Amino acid sequence: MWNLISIELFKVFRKPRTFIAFGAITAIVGLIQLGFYVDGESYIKFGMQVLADSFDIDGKVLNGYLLAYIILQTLLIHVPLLIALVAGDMISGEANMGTLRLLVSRPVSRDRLIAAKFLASCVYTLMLLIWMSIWTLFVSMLVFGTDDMIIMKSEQVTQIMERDALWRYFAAFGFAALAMITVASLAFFLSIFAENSIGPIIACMSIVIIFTILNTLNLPIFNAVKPYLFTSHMLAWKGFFDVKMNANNEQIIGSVENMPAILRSAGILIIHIAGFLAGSIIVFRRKDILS
Amino acid sequence: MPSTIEVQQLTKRFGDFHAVKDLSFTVNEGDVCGFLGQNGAGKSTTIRMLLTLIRPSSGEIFINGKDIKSHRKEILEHTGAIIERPDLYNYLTAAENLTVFARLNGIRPSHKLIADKLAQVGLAERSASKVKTFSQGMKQRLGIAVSMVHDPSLIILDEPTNGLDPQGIADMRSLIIGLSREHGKTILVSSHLLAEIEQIATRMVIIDRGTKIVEGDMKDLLDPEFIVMEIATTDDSQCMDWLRKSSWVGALQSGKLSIATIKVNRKDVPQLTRDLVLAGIDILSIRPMNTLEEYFLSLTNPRKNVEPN
Repeated sequence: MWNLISIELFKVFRKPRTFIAFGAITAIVGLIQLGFYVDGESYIKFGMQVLADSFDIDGKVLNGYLLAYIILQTLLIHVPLLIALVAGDMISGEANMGTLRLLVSRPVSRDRLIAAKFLASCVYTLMLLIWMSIWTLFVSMLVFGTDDMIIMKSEQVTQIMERDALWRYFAAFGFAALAMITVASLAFFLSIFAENSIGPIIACMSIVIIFTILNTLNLPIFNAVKPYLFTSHMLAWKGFFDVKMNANNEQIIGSVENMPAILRSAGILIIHIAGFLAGSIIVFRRKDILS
Repeated sequence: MPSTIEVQQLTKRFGDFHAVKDLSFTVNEGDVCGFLGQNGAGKSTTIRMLLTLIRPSSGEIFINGKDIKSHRKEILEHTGAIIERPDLYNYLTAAENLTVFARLNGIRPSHKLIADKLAQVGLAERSASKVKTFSQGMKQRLGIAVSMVHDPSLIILDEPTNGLDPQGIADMRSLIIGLSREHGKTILVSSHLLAEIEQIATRMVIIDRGTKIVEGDMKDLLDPEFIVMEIATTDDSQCMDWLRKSSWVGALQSGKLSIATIKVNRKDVPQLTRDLVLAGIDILSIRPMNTLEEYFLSLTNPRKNVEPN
């Protein structure tokens, strides 16, 4: 199996389009960092205006942790496109190139082939997120330094201690990886039906967009299905930045306010991944290769 | 001779359309079997079923005596193929493509093996070039190298001369003959270039609209009782006039042609020659026209068929 996975990874990372995503993330994160480096103080000051009237705030509000949070919120909505770019090409790209028939006529079972390709797209997704975390978190920490982290939400302000922040990012990136693998598995599933990669990429993004819109519409007809849509759970990583308080209204270091909700979201994403993978295997097992 | 490929009552339906219907044929070990048929006859569908790319609707395929359904991996380990076009990974080099497919066949190829395989198809110097820079002929040769990288005993070539120039076609012919005669490979080759097949095949299967219409050894199929002869003389009109008045008139194929073509029983050819000479006709040549192309067209396009007398 490792032989097959390594072949697939070799092909993925020899393809120029693979690096579009890495380049795009580097460029976007770099631009945001540059923007905050030049104008960040005034942006933060504007944002903290209301708080500054009621509290004394000292220290570095604009630090690496806060910037990483801001970037993550922005980027994780757009990263699915970069994921679909490669995962949606895994089978359809081979069909388009004409190599699928050569591949399937080799002494490798179709199930193993699909599994290897799926795992290769998961590895790609993980590497993209690691790359993203390096630029988003570590470069931000290096350039902007670290301090306590203040997160403003619609109804509350959360302050996370500096020593309590880093592990939350690792957990958030881990969860984001799960969310992105869900998108990858959807794009991968769709790629089995197509003979060029444009179709699955557009179809995958359309599904993500439609589900996201459904999530934002507060209509009873959609409320029933919302809990089952994978897009409803993709941003559950934010839960790692909600800290539990003790009886004295003090933060409990290392705690998460609603861990069961995060685990439930993770479970729903895993069910989606398993469903898409199983669907891929079943469809591909019966597929006539006519390309 | 043991059979390498044995196809029994193979059928493939796409909806209501029968791409292949009750097809049965055998390819023996060491054969170069020409698999012929017009466009849409079902050749590629059959080849894809042999390679497990398409699931048959019904029927059985045995390769080296083993059922392909239950021994797929084992069979494909000893099978190499080019299917229609030699599409390879354009963004990889020739050596990388060969390495990828060798590893898919369970081989961890050495640099020497890769270099040798590329040298066999004349691509040694382009080993490090990306396939996207290759001509169609070079891609075809690399495709052959890919199909042989694991040293298979059965090679299936679907239209291997597609897109090749005359030199490329000649090279492919030599390669196939070499693989068969020097390396003892069994080869199933489909092509629409009948003259090429005629030169390399030892056996032939012709299908039409998904159904087999003929199967057999080339020497038997192209050596029928009746042969069409083309008679070239110093005075063709004199020859035609004499034939029309002679007892051979019933065998004359066309009175409109300036050069006489006549269909006769093989054993009557010496008598025909003697009669022409005795009639004072100066013969330049008497040439049999039983080419594969003529045979193929007579079977697959009955309107052009010339029935024996």
